[in-house]
Amino acid sequence: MKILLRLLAPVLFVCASVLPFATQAAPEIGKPAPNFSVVDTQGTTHSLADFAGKAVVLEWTNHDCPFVIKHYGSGNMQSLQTEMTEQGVVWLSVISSAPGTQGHVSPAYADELTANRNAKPTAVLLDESGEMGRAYDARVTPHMYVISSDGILRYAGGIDSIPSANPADIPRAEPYFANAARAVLAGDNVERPITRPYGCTVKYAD
Amino acid sequence: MMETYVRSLGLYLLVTLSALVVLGANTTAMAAPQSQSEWVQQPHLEARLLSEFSTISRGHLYTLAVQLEPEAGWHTYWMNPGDSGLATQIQWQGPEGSYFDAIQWPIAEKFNIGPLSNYGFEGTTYLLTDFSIPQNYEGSEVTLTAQVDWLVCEEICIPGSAELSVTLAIGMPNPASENTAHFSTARAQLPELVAWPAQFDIQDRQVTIVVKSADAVAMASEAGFYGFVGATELVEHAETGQIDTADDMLVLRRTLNTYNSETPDSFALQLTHPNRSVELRVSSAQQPEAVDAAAPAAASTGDVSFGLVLIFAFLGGLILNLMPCVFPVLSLKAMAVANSHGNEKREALWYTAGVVVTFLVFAGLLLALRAAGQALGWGFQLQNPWLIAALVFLFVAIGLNLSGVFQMATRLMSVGQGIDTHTGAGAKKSFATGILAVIVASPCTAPFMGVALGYAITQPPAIALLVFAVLGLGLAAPFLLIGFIPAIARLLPKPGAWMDTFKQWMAFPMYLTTVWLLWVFGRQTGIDALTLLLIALVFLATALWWLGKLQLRSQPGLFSRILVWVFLLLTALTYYSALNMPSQPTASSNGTENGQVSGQNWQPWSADKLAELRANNETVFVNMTADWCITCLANERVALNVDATRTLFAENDIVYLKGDWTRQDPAITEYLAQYGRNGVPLYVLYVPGEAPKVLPQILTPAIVREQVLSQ
Repeated sequence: MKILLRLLAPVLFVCASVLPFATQAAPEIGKPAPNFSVVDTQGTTHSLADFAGKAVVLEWTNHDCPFVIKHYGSGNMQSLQTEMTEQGVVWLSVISSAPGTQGHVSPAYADELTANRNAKPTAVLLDESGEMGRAYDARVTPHMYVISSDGILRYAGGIDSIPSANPADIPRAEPYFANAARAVLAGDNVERPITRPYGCTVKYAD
Repeated sequence: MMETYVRSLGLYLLVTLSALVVLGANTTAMAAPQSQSEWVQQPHLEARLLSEFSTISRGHLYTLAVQLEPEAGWHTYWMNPGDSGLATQIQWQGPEGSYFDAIQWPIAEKFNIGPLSNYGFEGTTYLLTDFSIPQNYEGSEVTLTAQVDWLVCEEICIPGSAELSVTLAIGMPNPASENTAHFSTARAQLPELVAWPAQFDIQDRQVTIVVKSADAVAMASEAGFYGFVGATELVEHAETGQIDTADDMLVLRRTLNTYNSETPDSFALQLTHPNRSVELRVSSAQQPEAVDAAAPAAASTGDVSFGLVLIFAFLGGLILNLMPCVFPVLSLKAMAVANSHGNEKREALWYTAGVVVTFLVFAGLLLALRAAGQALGWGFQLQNPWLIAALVFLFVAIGLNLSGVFQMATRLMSVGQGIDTHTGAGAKKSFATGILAVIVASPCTAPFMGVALGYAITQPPAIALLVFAVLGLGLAAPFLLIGFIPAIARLLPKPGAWMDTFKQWMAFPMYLTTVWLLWVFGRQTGIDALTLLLIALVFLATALWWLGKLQLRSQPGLFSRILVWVFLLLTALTYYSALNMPSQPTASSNGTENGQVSGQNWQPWSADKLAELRANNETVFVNMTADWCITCLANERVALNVDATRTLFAENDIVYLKGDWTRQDPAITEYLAQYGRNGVPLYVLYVPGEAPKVLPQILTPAIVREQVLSQ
């Protein structure tokens, strides 16, 4: 009997390993941020390694999403971009919408949006395949990440504490992302490194 | 003069205000009552408000419904919208003092968008809310307004909002017939509310939810079964998770959400399949916060409420007064106090202080001893069979003493007779008398002190001290009472033979306590160890009976005295072997022969037992668990306490040891620390000649099997 069980073991091992414990590769706070290699609106390929020594902010975006409109329409996102980039932070706006879905834009239109909205990102990345989005487990727009200059992920989550599409809520909300980014720049600990991301679903290719 | 002026001004204002109120009421009265609001058109969705009743009465609950009609393919969101989206929100306005309950959410649907999922509603959706208007509302009509904010999504999302109002008449309640059909549809969309006990905990980034209900188990076997978790960012929404059932227990295991930052104390859970949907509350099964090594230990036996314990302590103290060596003293003292004039209150108070302080000193001494014992690694907890067995001896000895089989320290007792000579006036003297009363009465009080001691040794210090203080208060109570109401002294019965009978009666509760302790011991160890303990008790009884006989003789012989010690030695030896009895031999004896394993297949863990088994080259599986650990419970029911695993253990001659960390047994704490853990569950497999193997914190029969067979 024991021998039979031993013979069965490899089969059982395979069965066990298929058990649904595997989850999506989740970004982990305090661990090196996932690398990426994505082309921007100018045709330049950026990877995380290119920004070694600099703090990096990732902002998932979709210009037609009401939650993105909330923060661009009110000027909140632009003022954060200005504040951060003036301090040498690399700000990457990432569009992971698949072709044909909401938020997917041509490089030229993406630049036009940046100009029209007076946005100040370092670059706008076009992640059509959704590869970068999935690597970061980005779920909504806007979804915010802060990576410190040593390449460690320090913050992942929502832009602030009030999940709504109403710009009037911005001043009342606790600015989770801004607090985290400021703490990272000051070399302090991030008080709330993970928060609830709220917004529209990132329109990944199925 | 001035006052009159102010009064008339006030009257004037009152009249004016009343006129305004009447005017206001009249203006609203002009709008005819309407129990349906207008439809508000917004992109991809229209909304209106309905009232179940067109006329309502004050102070009673009625129901309103926000009706949402999204376009085909568009949906709004549930209380937990899932990976994106927003739950619909309603802000209510009504007369001051109105009450609006929470939204009664309909049965949710799951929408998958790429790798993500949302929870919400398609098609006609009703959000029901119960409300009432205050008793003191004065109008003849009432207007209720809902400010509704929603997010309506297909692939893309559009936020929308509407202000919706209904106006209802006040009077004899009358249903709004035009809305009846809507409300019956709305109620059909609600899940059935059930009160099935359910708890959850988080271990190893897994959320384990346990629902104890046979109905839940039956539901889980249906196709299309799903559990909607009503907390945002608690579990991953896209996955179905792992669903297991065992008897009347449903176990849902879901991956902790990547963006989980706060864990609620409780959340709503909808269990649903196409033919039935229920909603229940799941509460957090958190580890008790205060980690006190000597926390209350009646785990296996049911907790006695603390208030009850204090009442019993007080009664116990009172009963002490009736003991043969206390009562005569009490009645003498009582007479003295009753006849003294003036100072009796002060004297009674000082006496009480003396008694209570002495009890506290005694308790403090006990606690110090216990602390010393703990430093040596003795756990004074009811999980320890050795302590249970020791308490059994204590209680049998107390019982036999009360029955009159033997006496305690008869010499001390004779000293006690002289207590009244120490009495006198003055605070110090009364205080000293109190102390003396306790010490001198100790031969009689010892049995009851023993009970308190047995209880207190398993309790945290503060509780133990309190129990002893109350015990002292009970002892001093009659005296205190006489001090304040001297007339009561005349009501005291006269000392006499009844005291001895009473004492003997008191033996029987002791014997009953012994039976209870034996039952606990038997459950912990097994019938063999229990039998040995009973034999040890017979030896103890023999020793004490013989001691009692010697006490009656004036000059007991050397041999007779030795005989007492022989029986005590036999008691100790049997006690020792009872504790070293391999407990629950069922697993090892019938495991290999027929492969059929029934009953309990584990033995209680102890560091010594584990070391011994490993020294004998046994394969050992250790399971560290606790009652409050839902993950542990789920693992046991799903992966360990199942036939497949029982058979696996039996066929591979694996000894299964289980440690209970419900009360944070320090020995187990130390063991956990060896594996870098400070909590349960912990599963370790010891294969002779190999390093111990720590199993995952989430088990399935397959995982256990794989770990065992890959040895």
